[in-house]
Amino acid sequence: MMKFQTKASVFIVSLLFTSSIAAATSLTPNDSTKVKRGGDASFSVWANQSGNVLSTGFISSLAHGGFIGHDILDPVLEAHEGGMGFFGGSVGWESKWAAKPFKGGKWALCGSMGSEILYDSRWTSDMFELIFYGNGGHTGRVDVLSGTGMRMAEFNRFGLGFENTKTRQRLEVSLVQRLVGAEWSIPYGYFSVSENADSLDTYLQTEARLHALDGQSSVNLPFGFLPAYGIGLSGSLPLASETLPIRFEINFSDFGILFEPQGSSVAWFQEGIATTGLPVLGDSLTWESIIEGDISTDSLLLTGSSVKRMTLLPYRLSADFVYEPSPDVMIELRVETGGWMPKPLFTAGVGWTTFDRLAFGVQAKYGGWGKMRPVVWAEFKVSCRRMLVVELEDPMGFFIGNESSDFTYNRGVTIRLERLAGDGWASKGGRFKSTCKR
Amino acid sequence: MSGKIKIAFISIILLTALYSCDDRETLSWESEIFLPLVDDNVTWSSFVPDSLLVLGEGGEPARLVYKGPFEAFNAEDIPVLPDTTLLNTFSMGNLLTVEIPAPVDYPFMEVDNEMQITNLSENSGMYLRELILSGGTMVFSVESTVDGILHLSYALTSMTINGEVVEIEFNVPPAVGGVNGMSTVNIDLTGAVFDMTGEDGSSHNIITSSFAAMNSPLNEEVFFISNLDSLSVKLEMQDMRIEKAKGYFGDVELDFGTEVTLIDTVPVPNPILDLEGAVAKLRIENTIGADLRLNFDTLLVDGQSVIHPTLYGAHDIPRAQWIDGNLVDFTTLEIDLGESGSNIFDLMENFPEKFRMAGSSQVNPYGDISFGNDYADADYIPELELEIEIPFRMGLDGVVLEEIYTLDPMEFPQFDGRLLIDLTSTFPVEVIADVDYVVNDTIGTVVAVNTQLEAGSSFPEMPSHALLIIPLNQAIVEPGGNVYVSLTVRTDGAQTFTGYENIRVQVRIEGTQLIEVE
Repeated sequence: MMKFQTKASVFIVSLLFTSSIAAATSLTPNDSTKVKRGGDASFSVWANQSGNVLSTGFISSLAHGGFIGHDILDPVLEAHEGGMGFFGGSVGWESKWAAKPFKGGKWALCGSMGSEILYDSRWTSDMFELIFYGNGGHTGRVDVLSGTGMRMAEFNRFGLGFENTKTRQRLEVSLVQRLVGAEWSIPYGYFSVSENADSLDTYLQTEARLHALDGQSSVNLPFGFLPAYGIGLSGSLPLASETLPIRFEINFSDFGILFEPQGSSVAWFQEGIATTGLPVLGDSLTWESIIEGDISTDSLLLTGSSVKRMTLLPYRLSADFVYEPSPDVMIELRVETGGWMPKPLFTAGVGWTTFDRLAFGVQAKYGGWGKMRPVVWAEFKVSCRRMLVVELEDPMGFFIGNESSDFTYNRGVTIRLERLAGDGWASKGGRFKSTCKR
Repeated sequence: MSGKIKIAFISIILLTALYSCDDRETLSWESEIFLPLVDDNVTWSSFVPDSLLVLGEGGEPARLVYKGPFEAFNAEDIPVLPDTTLLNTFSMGNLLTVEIPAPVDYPFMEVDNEMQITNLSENSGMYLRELILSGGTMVFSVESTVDGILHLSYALTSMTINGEVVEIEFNVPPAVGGVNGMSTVNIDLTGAVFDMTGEDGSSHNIITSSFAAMNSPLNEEVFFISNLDSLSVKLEMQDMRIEKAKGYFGDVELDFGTEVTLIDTVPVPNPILDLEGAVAKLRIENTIGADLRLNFDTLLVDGQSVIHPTLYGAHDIPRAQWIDGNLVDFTTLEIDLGESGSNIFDLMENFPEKFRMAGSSQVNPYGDISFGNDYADADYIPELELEIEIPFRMGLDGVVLEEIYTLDPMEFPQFDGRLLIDLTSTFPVEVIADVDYVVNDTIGTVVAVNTQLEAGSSFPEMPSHALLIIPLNQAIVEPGGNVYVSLTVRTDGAQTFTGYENIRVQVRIEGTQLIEVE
């Protein structure tokens, strides 16, 4: 029997869907004569989170508190694919636009702007096991800590460039600002207790950076901003067949370098413990020898401010392939990398144009931070030149706290409002084109 | 916005609020830990310095071997050249009858001089003919009454450094207003070779020098020398260390009293040694080219006098043969301290700790029979060696180890586990282990356990093992405490020990703790 929350959630989704259909069927085409011809534009907001290990059920358990036993932890530990766990995502908005072509020609001024918070964390299964299980169950094994880390940053970007109104090829130069950021990592580390627990061997290198200034800022934040700026290239390269119902599109953004100013707070810690010439008859490293100073430690703690440095911008690169076997059906494949994702993100999906103004589809996504998950989307043509796109990634993942979402690992929503162009856009194809009359 | 959408939006907000208003419990999970705390080894090194222990191979007994010097002699005992000051005053009185201008192109004073070193030794008759120094300083000072600047040239013609005579040239300022002009030069004597046989080659303790004074080109005006003018030359040789010496080292008698410690750690409990095959010897090698006579007055083992038929009295050791600075042959005197009639092995039965010896040594007891050809090299000082070799066959009875291992306070919330104490022994005797864990709590809780390890074996290696378990909970483990370990052994008669025996003490903590996150 469904719980109250489940019923309420299903009700709300049904309500939204029903209201959308009702609105779509009740709309009539606008008078196109009232619409000025211009370029295209879009505005998107999104928020998503993906992971391959931390199920919604586990996160819910952490949120609710209480005792978490092995029945909860075991599936999480087993979910570590390749010995690594990932958790990340982004929240942001973006506006893209293109002006009218210059003097009726084929080139138009285009631009984009937006903000995005990126977050990314990763850890080894050994690290997870040490924290939640302890070392008792796997003595005699070297626990690898290398590769564990997390980072987060807020990026603002503004791009300006040109777009070919016929081919829709687009190239922008982006100015990217990292307003604030933080990162922590263990480049190298391990922990080992011998099988009979008669020796201990550890090594840890860790580094933390806070890209902000110490002290309170003028806006009552506990830190001051230390923005970094970078320059990158963004653009898209759509290719459409004039004879076949297929198209191919490459998109890229923020291929460039971020120039970090000096002044970030940096802490660097290294601790190495190794035995030193103890008798071979059995003495080895123990807490006692550490406390009594019988061993040599290679310990180093550095704190201070960073110097200037250059790092890569969080670029994104994607390739899309769309096949439309009939005017109502669309099949799409997509691969995307970058954006701090630890693995490439693969997408395959199918869409239908069920009504004149409404299309919807389903997708399967695999990679990025997460496992295989479903995506549903709907495109609603609000007017002859405006379209609303809503995309839900792993919709069941939104019902946090509900049993039905316990085995989901992701959740995300994207809402995009597009203004469709008129002439010249047919080369892109697609489900909707401007139907405004000239 | 339609009414339905508004309702849906409000519903979402309400649902979110419902979840966020839940009373959140403290998050907790169990963590299983298994950590080493102590790992210690009790070996023979705990009792016997490693430098003294020769391990037994193939099941043979280990041996305690001491072969070290009784410090009866040292480098200071070979001929010493004391700090020496040689003073010469050269007056013009006998050479000049009138005041003359100082000549410019040639010396107005040239003197070759022999200086006798007279302070080598008191009443011993010591003299030196050749000398090589490993260090020292010569301070050369000149005091002049002459009105002009003098250019002086001074050479110790009997001394060479790196094969060459050292010649010093320097200027002495003029005497002004009744104050004599003075100049001082320092010379490093490291590696200096002295031929002290004088100009005739048959003397000894002689240092020859050559001295010349002339007008310095620095003088802008002519100055005059009168019969009242004089030059005082002072030669101070300080901190001279002899590397090699040849001559007669005198009839010298030196007393010695010295002590060696065989074992300075925890004594073995009530040991009874089976001393069959034990060795105790005194050995001296005379490596100097002078006769020695040793007189032993006292030999004590742990404060008890050694009775010996031949030790006490005079022992003459003929001189070593040195040819052209090379040691060709030397003589050795060896005294078997364990020979028939000696009681030294009786005194050593309880594992000796200290040997003490006193006596005297006499150099050249028969006088200058080498006619000045005694030879000494600081790198070849005679050594009086004590050689003790004791096989490890013994009986033991008592505590071999009392150790306290401190466990610092540890944060193990709601710990439920145990303290594991592993004892592994290859000693061929039974070991009784008593372990007390005294908790650092207000009442000083004591958890006591004990066990008995069977006899093990180091050859072939067959350790015996015992495991002691102390149940622990948070109240016991968190304050920390002290683990008192006492190991007692008892043998039935003498046992053979190879030296490889050890008792390993391992303390580990195993259990689960509850980690809580608010």
